[in-house]
Parts: sequence; structure tokens; C-alpha cells
Amino acid sequence: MSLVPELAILVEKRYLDAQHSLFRFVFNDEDRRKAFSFKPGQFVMLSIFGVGEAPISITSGPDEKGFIDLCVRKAGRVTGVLHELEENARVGIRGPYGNGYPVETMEGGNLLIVAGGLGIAPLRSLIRYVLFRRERFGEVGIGYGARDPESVLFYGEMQNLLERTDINCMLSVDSVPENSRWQGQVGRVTQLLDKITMPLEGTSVAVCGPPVFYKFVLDKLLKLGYSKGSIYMSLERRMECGLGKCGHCVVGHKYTCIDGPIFTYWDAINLPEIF
Amino acid sequence: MIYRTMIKKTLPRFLDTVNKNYRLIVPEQKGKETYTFKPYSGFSNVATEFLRTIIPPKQFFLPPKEDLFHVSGTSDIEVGAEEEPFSIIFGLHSCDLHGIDILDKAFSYGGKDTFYWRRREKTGFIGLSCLPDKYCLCKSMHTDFIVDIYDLFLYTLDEVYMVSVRTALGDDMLRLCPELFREPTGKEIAEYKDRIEERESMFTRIMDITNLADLLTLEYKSDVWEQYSHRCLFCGSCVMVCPTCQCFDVYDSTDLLTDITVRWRRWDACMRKDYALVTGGHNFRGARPERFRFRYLHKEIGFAEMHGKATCTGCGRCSETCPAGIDMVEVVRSIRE
Repeated sequence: MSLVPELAILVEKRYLDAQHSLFRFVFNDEDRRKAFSFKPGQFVMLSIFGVGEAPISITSGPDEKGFIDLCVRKAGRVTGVLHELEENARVGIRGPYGNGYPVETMEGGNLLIVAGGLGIAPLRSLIRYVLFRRERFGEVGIGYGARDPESVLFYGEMQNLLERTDINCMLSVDSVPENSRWQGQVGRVTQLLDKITMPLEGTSVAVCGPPVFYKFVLDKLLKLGYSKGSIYMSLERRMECGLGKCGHCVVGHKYTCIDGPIFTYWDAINLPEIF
Repeated sequence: MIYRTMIKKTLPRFLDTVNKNYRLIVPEQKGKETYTFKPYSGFSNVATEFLRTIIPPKQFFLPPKEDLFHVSGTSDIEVGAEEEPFSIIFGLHSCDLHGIDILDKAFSYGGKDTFYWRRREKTGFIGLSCLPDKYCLCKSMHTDFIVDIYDLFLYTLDEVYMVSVRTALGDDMLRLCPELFREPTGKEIAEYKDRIEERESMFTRIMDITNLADLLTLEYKSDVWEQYSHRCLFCGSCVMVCPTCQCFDVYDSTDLLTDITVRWRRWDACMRKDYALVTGGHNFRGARPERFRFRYLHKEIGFAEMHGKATCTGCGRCSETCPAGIDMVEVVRSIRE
């Protein structure tokens, strides 16, 4: 374990919308490239030398080998410069860090995935994990809410999921501008949860989105009757090391970076400062 | 464990010899009542009767600022190779040894911190007994004695030091000048017992930590936090002088002429306003009472739930240093009342 990253190259940059792009990185070292493996929900520390480091969750699926995809919003210092980088730029990557989703526990049962906005970034990794071994899961539901049609990330991939019959996927936007040709659903993601009916027994729920989204979605899930122990949420905190040392991500007696970032709702409400 | 005695007057000879074989660090007087750890420069500068150095020994394993690696636009990442000689720190009191034990746990949890451990593994400790002053809280925190971590521990008696030899390294040091050490006599053992009893009776400051974790949790929303946060300057002095505060920040600087980027880590403090600030502007602990409370909760409960030990060693540095006169004993009493 080390605070020293390994060199990687930005090989592809895919524009998603004005704020978000999908960046593909490969390690310089070929052995490292082959050996790198991770779980959905884990993150890496991305370095832009001279600018700094930021924790970013992995967006590609664990079965896609040889590269790492990160879906990043242009929001701060490191991510701002990242969006300016050209292909073939040198960066540093260390990780993967964090516990990731407990996929071993989730397998064999049903899975409901609820994403809000950029919360789709780590959940896309989980979705890809499920698609790769669909037969190991029972019913699978996906609810994805975005602010408006413009800000639906991975629209093409979502279309494919909407058409699949072995997955109950629904997409909605909060509002639609007047001139939009949006044909899909309009409304809060919580309304989708009324329509994606899953058995309460044996269903894990993975939730990721902005703070206000959590508030409404968690309330809704409890009203629907899901157990707090079966709801998995991903916490965001400031991180300087990712290794459980720098102290910045501490919540109560947990380090978000190594004990999390995935916590059950039950574990999370037992931490001070959370709700 | 082996015990030996050494005539106090021979300590200079012993330290001179240790210094020839290792890099020796000792406490020195700095100002009128302040002390600091320095490389050994002759016995006349060594302080043997002192309570606390300004900065605790954590500085030797987690320096206030250290470079992690260098990289340029085209070069590989170069980690500075630290080829420091093996060091012995002399004069560590029980509280500071407990502090090092806590840091060892913190820098091992979830995997060893290579930068911390490459220094820590090359350091030995000679402990030294002390008598409490008005700030010492070690008795309350159960850190007034230590049975681990050190290599040698010197208990000050009238004419001799009772020396506890804990490790093979401690034995190696003894064997550098074996003529200085001998079996303790019955009289010396009796004197040692008297001294312990005497020291126990000297503690004037007591902090009641019974069920403190429960109380702090129950009083999470107490007005006490609000009240103290008006007095606290959030200067971070308590954090800098704390033997167990380990938080750090990671950042880059680039030399414009050479294009070489250095990645640093430096001490940070949870009292600082942007400590928990994330990209996008959300601050998870922006309000003053929240920041004040966090330090107490993490010291007394957070770490203890992970490692079974509160991280306050009772060294008294924070109370002595605080420019606003905030005292942990008083804060805990306010919570208790």
C-alpha cells in the first residue's frame, strides 16, 4: 500500500454532456494493466501531476480488462484540468480502494439499482457486472433519474437496457424544457420505484446519487418496506489518501475510504453526522 | 523481563556510547520552560528532568512536511530513498510511548503506511520516568505506565536508575558498556516501590472517563459544543502538539524552471474549516461546533471503537498550548454535568 501512484495514459475521451466525459486510462506497465482487478463500487485516486489527486469511482465493469473508465464531472481543480487533457496525456492512478458492493452477497437474490444523476457512474460498473452474469441474479430492476433530457448520462446504453426483457429498467427526468422532443417518462425517480415492483424478501437495493436524492429515495424505500440492512448506499467524503490514514473521510469510527464507501443504510444511520 | 540498575552519574558515559553506535535524539531545553527533541550534542545539553517537549515524537515518523515522490513531464515517478541511520530516542515518558503505540496502530490499520514505517522500524526508544505537573492526565487515561514499545526504560531513583530491559535492542545497548549495569539490590527494589507510590499520590488533576463514550454519544447535541466553539480559535495548535493527531493533507508543487512536480504530505487539522470540504462546495463539517465536537469524539470514541484504546494519552500538551485556555478536563466535566 502506498501513496505513490503508477503512470497511466489517457487513451480515450468520450464527451457525454457539457459537464461530463468518460475517460479511458491504461497503465503504462503491461503487467499492471493485466493484473488490475476491482469490484463494482470501488474507486481509484487519480493524479494529475502538478495539480493534485482526486478519488473517482470506477465506471467500467470488472470484466472489462486492460483499461479503466472513469465518468467525471467537471467540478473542481483536478477534474477541471482532467477535462482539458488531450488523449495520450500522462496521469497517475493508484487503487483500487474501498470495499465495493458486496456482489457475493447480492448474487442469488434480486437486485434493485437506483441511480440519480452522476450516481450512475459507480452503478454502471455494477450493472455491467450483472449483465455479464445475468443468470446468477433473480429479478433485476433499474431506476435512473436525471434532471432533464440533456443530462441523462449513457443515453444509448440506457436505451438498450430499456428494451431488454430480462431487466425491468426505467428512466425518467425531473423536467423537460419546452422545445424538447423527450418521449420518455417525466417525474421524480421515487415515482419509478412505485412501478418497479420487486419482492421485498431477498432483494438488495443499491442506491447512489446526490444528497437530496438519498433523502427522498431512502424514505421511499422504507415506505415500500425494504429492510435498512438490504439497502446499500455509497458515501462521499473528502479523501487525501484512500488508505485509512489521512483522517479526512472519517465518520464516527469508520473510514469512508477503506470501511466504505459502500455502507448499508443501517450501518450508515449508526454513524454520527450522517442523518 | 530483565531489570538492571545504573548509577545516575554514569548516564553521560552511557549516552556518549549509544551516540557512537546509533543516531541519538535527546530532549533539550529550548526556552525558559520549553523543551524540544534534538540530535545529541553532548550530555551537558540533555534535559533529564522535564515534562513534555513542545512537539511530540510523532515528528520523527510523520514529519510536519515530507515529499512522497518527484515526477516530471517525461520522467518516471521517483520515490526519495531514505537511508537514515538507526535512531535511538532518549527521554520518552510513558505518555509519549503510549502515543507511539497508538500511531503504530493507526498507521497499520488497513495496511502499513510505508513512509511512516520505514522510519519507525529504524527507531528504538529509551524511556524515562517523570513526575506529574498540573497538566498531566496520564493517570486518568491509564497511560502513566507502559510495558511495551520501549527498548529500555529508566526509572529515576535517588542514586541510580532502575532500568527495565524490554527488547534485544535494549540488551544490545546495555552490552555496549556492560560495566555500568548490575543486578538491582533489595534496597533499590524497595526504593522503586516507594517512588511509584509517591508518584501516584502526586497527581492533582483527574478526569473521570467512566462511560465517557456513552456520555459523549448521548450529549451529541449538547449546548456544550456550541459554547466551547465560541471560545475556540480553531488555530489547530492542540492538533499540532498532540502525540496522536495524525491527519495529513496531500498536495503538489511544481518548479516552473525544471518542470519537476513534488508531491507532499503535511500535517493537517480537523479543526480547519475546509477539512471536510468536497468538490462542488459541500462541507460535511463546516460549522464551528461540529468541528470542535469531532475532535473530542474522535479522540475518545472513534479510535477506541477501532482499536480499543482512546487516543488521548493525557500528556497535557493541548491544555498547556491552547491560546484560548480550553482544557480537556473542563470540557469533559461540562459534558458530565
